[in-house]
Parts: sequence; C-alpha cells; structure tokens
Amino acid sequence: MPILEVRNLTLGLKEKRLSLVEDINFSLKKGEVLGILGESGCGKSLTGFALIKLFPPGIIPYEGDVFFKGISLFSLSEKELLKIRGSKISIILQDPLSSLNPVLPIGEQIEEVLKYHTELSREERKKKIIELLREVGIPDPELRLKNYPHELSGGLRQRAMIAMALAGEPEVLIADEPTTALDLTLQAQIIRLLVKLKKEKKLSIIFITHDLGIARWITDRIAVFYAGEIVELAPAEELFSTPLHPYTISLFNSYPRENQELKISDTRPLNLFYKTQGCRYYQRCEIRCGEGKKEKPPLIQKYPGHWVRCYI
Amino acid sequence: MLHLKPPFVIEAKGVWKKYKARVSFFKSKSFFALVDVSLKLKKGEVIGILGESGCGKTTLGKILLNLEKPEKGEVLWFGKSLSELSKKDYKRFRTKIQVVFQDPYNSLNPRYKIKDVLLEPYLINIKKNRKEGLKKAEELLFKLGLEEDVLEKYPFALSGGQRQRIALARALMISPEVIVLDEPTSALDMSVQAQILSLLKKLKEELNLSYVLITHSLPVARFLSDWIVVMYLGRIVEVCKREIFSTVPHHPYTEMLTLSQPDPFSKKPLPEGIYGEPVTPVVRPSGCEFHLRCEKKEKMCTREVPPLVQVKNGQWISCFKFLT
Repeated sequence: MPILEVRNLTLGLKEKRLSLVEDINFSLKKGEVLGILGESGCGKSLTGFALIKLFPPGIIPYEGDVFFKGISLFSLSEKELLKIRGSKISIILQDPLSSLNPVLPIGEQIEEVLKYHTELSREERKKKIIELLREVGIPDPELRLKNYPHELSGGLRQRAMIAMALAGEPEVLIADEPTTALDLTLQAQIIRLLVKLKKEKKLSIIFITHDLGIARWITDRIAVFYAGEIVELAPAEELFSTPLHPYTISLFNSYPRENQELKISDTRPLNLFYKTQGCRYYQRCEIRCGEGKKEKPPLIQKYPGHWVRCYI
Repeated sequence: MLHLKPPFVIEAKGVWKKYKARVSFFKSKSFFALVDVSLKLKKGEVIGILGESGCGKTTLGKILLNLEKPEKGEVLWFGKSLSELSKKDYKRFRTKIQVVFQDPYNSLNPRYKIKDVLLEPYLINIKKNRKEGLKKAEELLFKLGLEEDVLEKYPFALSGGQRQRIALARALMISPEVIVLDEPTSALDMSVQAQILSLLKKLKEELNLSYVLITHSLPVARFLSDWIVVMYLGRIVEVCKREIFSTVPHHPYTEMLTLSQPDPFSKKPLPEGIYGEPVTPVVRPSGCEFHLRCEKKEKMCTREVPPLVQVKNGQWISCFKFLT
C-alpha cells in the first residue's frame, strides 16, 4: 500500500467556481522521492500544502481526498489532524529565516515539536534535540541549540529547520523548494542530507522544485505541473531521456547550454478566468492538435509508469 | 582579458573596497569587500562574474558603475581614470554605462507609466525631445519583442519577463556601450529566463555591446560570457576563457562550484566532499581565503595569499597548487 495517496484533488476559489488545481492523482511509496516540477503559479505549492489539509485563505477543496496509510485526511477532525501534521507528515519551506520563530532559540523550537508529539521527559528531550542537530550536520549541537535563528548562517538555518521537521519522526516529508534561497555549494550539501535521510530512515519525500538539475539528483519520479494540472508523470531518468508532453519538452529546451541556441517558447501566462474547454496548454503549444482545441486530454499511460496528458 | 591589448572599454585596476559592519551596539569593524581586483573589458565582450553570496560580485558592479568609490585602485574608462575625467567627459561616461538589476519588481518606479520610465534617461542625457524619445522607445520595444501598447501601462500590469525587458529597454534608451547585468534572470522562471538570455545575446551582437554579467549560475555564465571570473570573499580566484572552461583543470573553489551545479541532462552524481559555506569577509581568514574549505590545502596556504598568475593561454589561477 502506498504511504500517501492523492485522489482527484481539485482546489479552487471559495467565492467563485474556479479551479486552480485540478484532478491531481498520485501516490507515494515508502522511501520514495516524488518531485513536483513546475514554474511559478502552476499550483505546486498549493498542492504541497493541501497534502496536510492546509489551504491559503479563500481557497477550498472542491473534490478529492488525500489518504495517509489508507486514512482519509480530509475527513479527520482538526484535532486528529494535529497528531499527524508535524509528526507523521512534516514540511520544510524555502526560506528558513521567515519560517523559524525569530525570538526563540532553535533548541526551544525543536523542543516544542517533541512536547506535542512525544512523551519524553525534559532530559530525554534535550538529548534528542542534540541527537537531531547532529544528525542534520550542525557542528557543536550543545552550543548551537541556544542560538537564535539570526545567529545562524543560511545553511545552518535550513539544517535546523530539517531537524525540526524530523523531530516528530515523520514518515513523509514535504519539501517546498528547500534549497532555492541557498548558495550552490550549500544546496548540494542539503540535497545530500535529504538523500541520506531517505536511505537511512526510509523517509518518503514530496520534493517541490522548479530546478531541473536538482530534480534529477534527488527524485525517483517526477510530476510535471502546468496550470494546476499534472501534464506528465514519469520515472525521473525516463522523463529526462524521453519527455513526451510539449510543455516538458519546451521546459527542457529552455535550459541554457553552451554553444547552443535557446529555443524560445511562448511564455504568456495562462488566464485561468478564461475558461477553455480544451487542453490548458493549447495556447502555448507548438503543435496545436485539433482534438486539443475541443476537448481536454486525459492523463493516459503511454509506457509503463509514464503518464502524459496529451493527444499526440 | 588580462593580456589583451587596449583599448578597453572599462577597466578596474587593483581595486580595494572597504565597508563597515556593526559588530555590536557600540562597535563597528571595517572590512574589505573587494581585495585587489583587476579586470578589463573589451568592446563586444562579456565577462561573467561568478560567485556565492557575499563574494563581492555586486560591489564590483557598483564600483564599475561609479556608484561606489574604491579605497585603493581605480576604474579606467578607455584608459582614463574616472577621477581624472573632466565634467563633460564624466557626463559622457555616465551615458555609456548602464545597469539592469535582478528584481524587475523593485527597479521600475510603480507610479511611472512605461513610456515615462523609458523617456526619463533619454530626456536627461540625450535630448529634451519627447517625440524623438518616444520614437526611439518604440523601436526598442519592437526589438525586444514587446507590443507598443505597453507604453501606456504601469509596471504592475506587466509580467516579470516583460518588466525585465522594460528594464533592459530603459538601459538601451541612451545607447550605452557597457551594461552591468546584476543577476538579470535569477528572479525569473526557466522559460522566461531562456527568452531574456537569448535576447541579451542577440542585442550584444547587433549593437556591439559589452556586458558585465554578475551571476551565481554557471550555465547562465557559460551561455553568455566570453570570460568567466570566479570570486571568493572579494578576491578573484580564477579567470578562464569560456571556450576552454570545460576542458582545463580549475582552482579548487571553481571545481567545487562546478561539482555543486546540477545538470539535468547528464548522469552527474550528487557530489561528495563538499562542505562548509562561505565565511563572512568581516573576519577574513589568513592566507588563502579558501583554505578553510579546501581539500588540497598545504601549510603555505594558511600563511600567504597566492598571486593570480597565468597558468595557460586564457587562464589565470590564484592557487599555490598551480604555481609549481
């Protein structure tokens, strides 16, 4: 059984029938990293937060459900959800400076998680915090836990954030662009840390990113998002060697390579208020098949495990 | 770059820049953000300055634009020091160098219509003639692939890619020779980045422009530049011609950057043995600044700063490993 399963997830505005994320289906196995790849505004973060039943103001789920080990998360009460959020499923965000509490030392922030989700005594908690900080590669954890977020460098802050996410011993980690704010050499270190956690703890990770290279390093499977839909879902290696959807192909072609002209694609953002019957990518598509104009293509399995939403 | 014969459009010669950082409520400490930086830019060339945050790449851009004055060293404009230019020549220099910033959301005045954004530098520097200015603006918009109707819009009505093109058009309004591009695409989506990059390449060839490209992305630097300059803690550690970049051995820091740069289209493994992060220039390490993170360091590296020497045709490295 998959550890996390998303079925027909559709999110949209509360006041007006307008779906921002439509008909998302995927599942996550134990110890697997699923990448969600897409450009800004494609609904990748929205989907990430929806996995733990968190929605930005004004946005509600229209349809669908998320199952964690077979339990429907959307039908749980807020109280029951709190037991899962932060412990069984936890999240790390892009910018650790604005997501850590600036007036509490990092040790206390991690302790808070332990207080809620475990029965440990004060002494045991302290031991556990030091152990966690060591695990994520923070040097001198005994001293560091007294530091405030602003006293740490960007890399250490992100590590502290990961330590906090790990405190509840999660089985699923949602990582929303965890390395975008970091320098190149730090990015590589954080990715290596996440790969280590995946291997040693059999942690399942939903990895949200817009960076093709990072996705290749860490993910096992990738879901490509466009305008709130999955347009392609495939094993990572296969996606990079044989992309099928025109959007995926145009995304790959826009990666700058030496001595090679860039292929420019139409980048006009899609107006979601303008309801189309057909394929959402139709306006920007190079091929523009006749069927795509009339009707939305379904997500079909082209090769084993390789799904694509396109008639071609 | 270092060996080239003049004339150079712009040249930095042994530039040192000092800043003050507050270390406590009462005390501040001065430190060097740039240490003995020299570079030369020829007409029609692109220098890509590569480095992590805090390495002084933006400071160097500001020095070249004369927005900051160096403590030591000088900036030369066609071989003439900026401090020695006459008032008239200085005004000419001002119109010949322009800048495009990273964030197109903050670098355009939100209360100006696009036409006023574009006209302002023209009216001040070239000619007090709105009609001719508008004509020029329209020409530029066409060249940059924008519709004419954006002229009557305000910045908020444009997308990030459109705004970045407006910022570029504004820089081009007064026909500069050099444009300092400070992370021109890092706030943009992949497909928009591709548009801006190929536009920059096209404009460079059509108008014979020179760019100083400040970036932290190796693929971007390799796509656009003729020269790649790698900086670490305010010092240039390597200068390398782009053509030979992929084939020659590099400074250990450049090596580290190359390894950390993921490449979606190769089976490049996740690197081992990368550790540490750039330390702050406020407490500058002794000797070679990189020795704290360097795997190949020797005793000498902790004591002395290695000079930047030519190791090959088209490559300069500041590392003792390459001296012997």
